[in-house]
Amino acid sequence: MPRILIIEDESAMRDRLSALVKQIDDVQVDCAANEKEADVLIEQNRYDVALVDLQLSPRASGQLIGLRYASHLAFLHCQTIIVTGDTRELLSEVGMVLTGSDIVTKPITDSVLLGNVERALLWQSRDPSASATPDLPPDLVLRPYDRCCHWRGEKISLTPTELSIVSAMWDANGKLVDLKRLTEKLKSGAPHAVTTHMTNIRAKFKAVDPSFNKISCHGGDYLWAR
Amino acid sequence: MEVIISGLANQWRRFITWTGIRLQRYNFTVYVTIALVALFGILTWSAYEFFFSVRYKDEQLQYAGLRSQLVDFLLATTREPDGSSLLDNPDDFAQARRQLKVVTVRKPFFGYFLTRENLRSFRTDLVRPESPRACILEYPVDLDVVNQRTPKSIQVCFAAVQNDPAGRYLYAIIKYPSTTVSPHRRGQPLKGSDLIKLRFQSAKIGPTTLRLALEPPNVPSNAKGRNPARFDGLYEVAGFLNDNGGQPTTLVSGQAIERAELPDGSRFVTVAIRIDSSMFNQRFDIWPDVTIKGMSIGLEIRRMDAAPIAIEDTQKGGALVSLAQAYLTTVPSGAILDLLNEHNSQQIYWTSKSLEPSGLQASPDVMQRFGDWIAGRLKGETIRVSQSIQSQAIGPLSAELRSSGNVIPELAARVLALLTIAGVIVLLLAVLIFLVARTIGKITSDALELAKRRHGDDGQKYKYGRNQVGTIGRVIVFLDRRIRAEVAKKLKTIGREEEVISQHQQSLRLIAHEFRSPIATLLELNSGDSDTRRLLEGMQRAMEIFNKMRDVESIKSAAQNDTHDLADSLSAYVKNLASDDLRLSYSGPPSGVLAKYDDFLLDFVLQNIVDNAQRFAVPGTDIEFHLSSKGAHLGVELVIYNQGSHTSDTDKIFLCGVTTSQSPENFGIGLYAARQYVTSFGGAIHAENRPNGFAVVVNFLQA
Repeated sequence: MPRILIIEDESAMRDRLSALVKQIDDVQVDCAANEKEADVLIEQNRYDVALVDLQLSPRASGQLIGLRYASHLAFLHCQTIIVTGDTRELLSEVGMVLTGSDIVTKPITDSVLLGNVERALLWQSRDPSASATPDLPPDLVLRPYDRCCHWRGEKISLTPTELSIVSAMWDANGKLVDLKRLTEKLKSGAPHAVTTHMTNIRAKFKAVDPSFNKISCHGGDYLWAR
Repeated sequence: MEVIISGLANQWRRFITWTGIRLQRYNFTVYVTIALVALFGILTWSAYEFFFSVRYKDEQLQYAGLRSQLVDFLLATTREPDGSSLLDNPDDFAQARRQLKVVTVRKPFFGYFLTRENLRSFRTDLVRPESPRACILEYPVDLDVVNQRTPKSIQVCFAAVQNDPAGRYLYAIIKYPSTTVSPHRRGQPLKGSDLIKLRFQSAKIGPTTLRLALEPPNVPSNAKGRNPARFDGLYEVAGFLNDNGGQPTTLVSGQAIERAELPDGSRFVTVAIRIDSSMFNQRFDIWPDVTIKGMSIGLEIRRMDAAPIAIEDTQKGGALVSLAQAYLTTVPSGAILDLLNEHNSQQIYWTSKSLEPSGLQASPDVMQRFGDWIAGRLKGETIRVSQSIQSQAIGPLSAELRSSGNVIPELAARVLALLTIAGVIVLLLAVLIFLVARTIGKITSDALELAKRRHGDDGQKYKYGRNQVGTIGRVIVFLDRRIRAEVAKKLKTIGREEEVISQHQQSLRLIAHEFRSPIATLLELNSGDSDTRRLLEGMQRAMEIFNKMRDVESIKSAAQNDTHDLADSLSAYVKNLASDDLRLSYSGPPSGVLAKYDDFLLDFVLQNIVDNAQRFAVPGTDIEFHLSSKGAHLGVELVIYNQGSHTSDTDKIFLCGVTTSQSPENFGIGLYAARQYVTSFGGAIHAENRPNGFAVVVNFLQA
């Protein structure tokens, strides 16, 4: 049975998160309210998915304790989901550190959170032999389940959602991917969110390759040009 | 061997590459220098062609001219009226002015005016005394007649005939002006009559004085007949060798006539005498010998009714004709004329070298001198023409006329000089441009070095330079310092502003953290329907709007505007998204309308406009897309129209947070974001109330 760890110092939010996650069948949920409890639980158990409050026990120095736990759990091959009420700029910085961590901002939308947890559980139970994406060009390395993306030898920090979108577009084998399908990849949210994600993906590829022009939008559908 | 060849090939390729790079770097200098060198070459070639073509033509003309001049000279010198030729005696007849001496003539010219044969028909006015023109010297004299001084001349000729069959005689013709002759009466003293005194002076012979008196002729009375006046003016000439007025000598004989001559009727006395050489008491081996020819002769004419006429033996008279006069008259080109022995060119009988050049001299201004100087450097062949002639006195002769050939015409000299000056100017210009280009290259190089900051102290290098490079270098250094100072100043300003923004963002982060999480928690704790929860939800909504605005700004800053086919994309958009629930239609070109936008963000813009239109569209009607190109300046216009109600304030719908939706998930961000994104495309968006509906108009830049 998959185990899910929730690290949240605010009890009301912790209770809500716990209640939401428990809606998923066949999962065991543990909650930690502080660092001490988190250390004990991580020491004693192996978790498949963890929801970590980024601003756990806020410090005057601005140190993000939740970031340390997210990083440690990722090292233990645990799928981490960052829960935060912080602004976009800070989340981008965090995303650079926690490659592959999905981020859920407060106030939480139930469907968004559940979609992220389900996707994380799916990836954690993946078949390693199926992780290889076929027919990749030499300049693209795309292993979504390993949270790995390289373009022309340069590492690109994509979130799991962004990796899913890139993977879906690549799998379309040079054909247009309609907005509905990409929206389903998000498991929640509106089509507007796809545009936001696509913009982020393009910006990240352009950051390592200014001439990058593989992704385009045509008639509301997206295309990875092969 | 193969390795060596490969190495050479590589070196050659490197050399070609290096040369190409250098030529590209200095292309301006190379092009200008080539052009100027080509111009210099053209000018030089033009000058060369011009000079040689002109010289060739000039040589042809000179040759023809010299030929003509030589012929004229020969005609002038060999066709004397008496049949003689000046070339028979070049020594005597060369000079235009000479002292009175005995010259050698080829045939005798002396004769008595009155002879037995013409006694019956003799008339003084019909007498035509003959004498060779070349022998005659002319001396100007003044004739004082009743206080009126009239310029006249006296003509004198002393000659001896070579191999004279008549004997060894000197012949003389003296023609002088007179009024009335006072003749001498035989037996009377010479004192009261007109008298001609001749003085012969020679170192070998000694001075000899001969007086000539004019005496009435001894004409038989029966010969005078009915017209004795026809002998008026005729005199016999009596010679006297001493001063005592004794008996006339028989060694001198001759006659004289006095008459008026045309054209002005002036009266002249013409005396023709023959002097026997024995008068000089000298034995002559040949006739005439150098002693006779070397004698200087003085002349004095005493006239009773006029002033005497005296010609010193050293006084030079002007020859009526001479080789020099003939040369100056017939050879205006100034070419050198030589009379040579035809068989021995070293033997020169006469040359015109000593004479002043005549005639065709170009105006000696600067341009002509300069042109002549250049022509002198390019001196051509001497032009010669010659003519063989036969002189009865000295045998076969060759008359040769030669021109230096380097005097080019005035116009040609000027053109040549101007072309040369132009060529020199072009050459100097080429050098100047080369130096300027070199200076520019140095300035450019130094400016590049300055721009790259390779100098340790960039100002030191030009600190003391007062030339152009130094001045420009200092200017560049000063500008560089000023720009860097301004940049540093702006960097400081930007740094301060960034710091303020950073502080501001940090404050916003703090607010976000301190408000959003607690509000989310409070909402969890107030799940019921209470006033507190509504307040909390309002606060949370405000935070969300704030957060989404930041998202819009972030996405807008990452926009990638490229050229896309808007018509093609809209056609596909309508086709892909149209469904039973969402009726869409498109009118406009199916493709080929190029515009600049971010395809991702346009998708977002269209989603929000369509969402908005869908809410207000009359059910069962289409949301219509109309695309049209307004031209390069007006761009592309997209109108999205739906039938439905109007909006009172069409601009307000694009403001952040304005929404008519009651859904808690609708924050009034969509159209606000649409305007932000379209603006980032360089386009514009606005709304219009139209008949029976509402339209959003989006304008794009045409690509």
